[in-house]
Amino acid sequence: MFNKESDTSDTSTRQSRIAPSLERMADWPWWLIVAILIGLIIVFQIVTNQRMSNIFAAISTGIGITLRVTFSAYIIAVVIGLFVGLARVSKNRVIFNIASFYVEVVRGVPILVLLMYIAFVAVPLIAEMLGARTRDFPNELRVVLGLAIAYGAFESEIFRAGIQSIEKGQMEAARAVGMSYFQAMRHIILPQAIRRVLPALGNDFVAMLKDSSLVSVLGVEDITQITKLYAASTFLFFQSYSILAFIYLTMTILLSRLIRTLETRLSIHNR
Amino acid sequence: MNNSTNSSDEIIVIRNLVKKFHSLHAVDDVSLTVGAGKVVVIIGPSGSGKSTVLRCINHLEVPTSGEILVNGVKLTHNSHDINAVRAEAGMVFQEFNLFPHMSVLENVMAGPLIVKGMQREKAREIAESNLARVGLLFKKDEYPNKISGGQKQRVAIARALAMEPKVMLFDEPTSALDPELIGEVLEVMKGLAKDGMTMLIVSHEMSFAREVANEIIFMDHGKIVESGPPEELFERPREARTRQFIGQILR
Repeated sequence: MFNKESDTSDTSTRQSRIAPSLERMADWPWWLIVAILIGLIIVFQIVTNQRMSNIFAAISTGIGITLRVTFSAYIIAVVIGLFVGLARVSKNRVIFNIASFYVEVVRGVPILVLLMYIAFVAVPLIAEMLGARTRDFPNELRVVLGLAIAYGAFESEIFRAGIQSIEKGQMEAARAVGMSYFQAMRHIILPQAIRRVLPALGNDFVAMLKDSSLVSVLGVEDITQITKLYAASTFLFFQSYSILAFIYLTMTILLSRLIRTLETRLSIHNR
Repeated sequence: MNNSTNSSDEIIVIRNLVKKFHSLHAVDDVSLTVGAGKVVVIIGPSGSGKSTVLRCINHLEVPTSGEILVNGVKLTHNSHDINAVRAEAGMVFQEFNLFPHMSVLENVMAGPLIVKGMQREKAREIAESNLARVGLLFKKDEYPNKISGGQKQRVAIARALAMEPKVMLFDEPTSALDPELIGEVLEVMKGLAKDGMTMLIVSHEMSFAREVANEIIFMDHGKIVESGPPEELFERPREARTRQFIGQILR
């Protein structure tokens, strides 16, 4: 923006001397400065303003549940993803087709719909089969299951792509030494593939944190649900939702930083 | 190196091997034998099926028909037999195919550790002695991306040797190398030949073949055109096609 102005009005020497510093300012990460400023304002408000600190105190009681849902669903999703990813590169047509059915169906349905389907259709069905009551399955368990099944499909595609990105010669060399298919997968292919897909897996972890807000529609008291209830009862919509967004943003930024640090550390230690 | 207790002196027997890729006959009715301690070099233009023959021997390609015996074990679709044969036949690839996430030493230890379930100490001993054999013990802690192409191929040879195979299969081991790095790999292979290792080699290195091979096989269009001792095949080829190929390649 500054840049353009100085270019078009580049007539006097005085202006052209100013131009370089303006140009440098144009390269500043203004978005970050603005974001940090807004963040500081919110923090300042929370600290100084009694009403804001009340809201923050109320909402932050849900952070535990948000993190618990995120972590447990993500871990299950990665495990599902690993096995389904392996199934998707399998030469066994039955295994391949079952895995593909799962992946294509789940990827084609919105996560929200899938969550409701699992919570209101699948779990009651399973409960009935087991001879248990639906309410024996707590809501949190259902949403964790739902998120895990949804993300399992995404993670499986990441694993599949990672496995297929490893040169064919690696499998051949492993087999030629005498390894079985599974030994080769475990010791040769997967260690390389996982290292390659680590950034993508990390991205999905952050995405899972954000999508964990969907569990609020099922009444699980994560930070979104608490905010919803709090705002509705106090009519402090602006303040409540600003703080909610602020909490999510802080968590996602910290989490991506953490993941990036882990990635660099891994790439240093292992080639 | 180790004295084979096997009474039969035919390590590899191939009878009427056929490999079709769709309608293409990559290998068309090939029969050959490799005796214990013998070095056989397969030459021929690209696409003549040389590598495919080699890859059929340890079942990296599934033969369409024909019979393959390695050290007396007949190769079937049974995976148990296939793994048995693979343990007997060490393979060296054109592209080395070292495991990049493992150090040089770990690359060579991988077979004994994972396939044979050997103790770590024992596997390390075997790996180190084989690295010494290819003259690369001093590189044991390096990772593959830190060593030269010639060194990579020597590590790949050590990796195959660590399984103590009855025969070594070489699939154009020097074709991906810069000219100045070819010599060190050929030296290692000559050393193996001198130690009495049975070898089946696909190669374009004619002077090497002439020096080391007991037998040269010339293939074209999936068939064996002619075979014989090197001096005979190089000096007095019987077939016109062989003469033409050798003329081109020695020019």
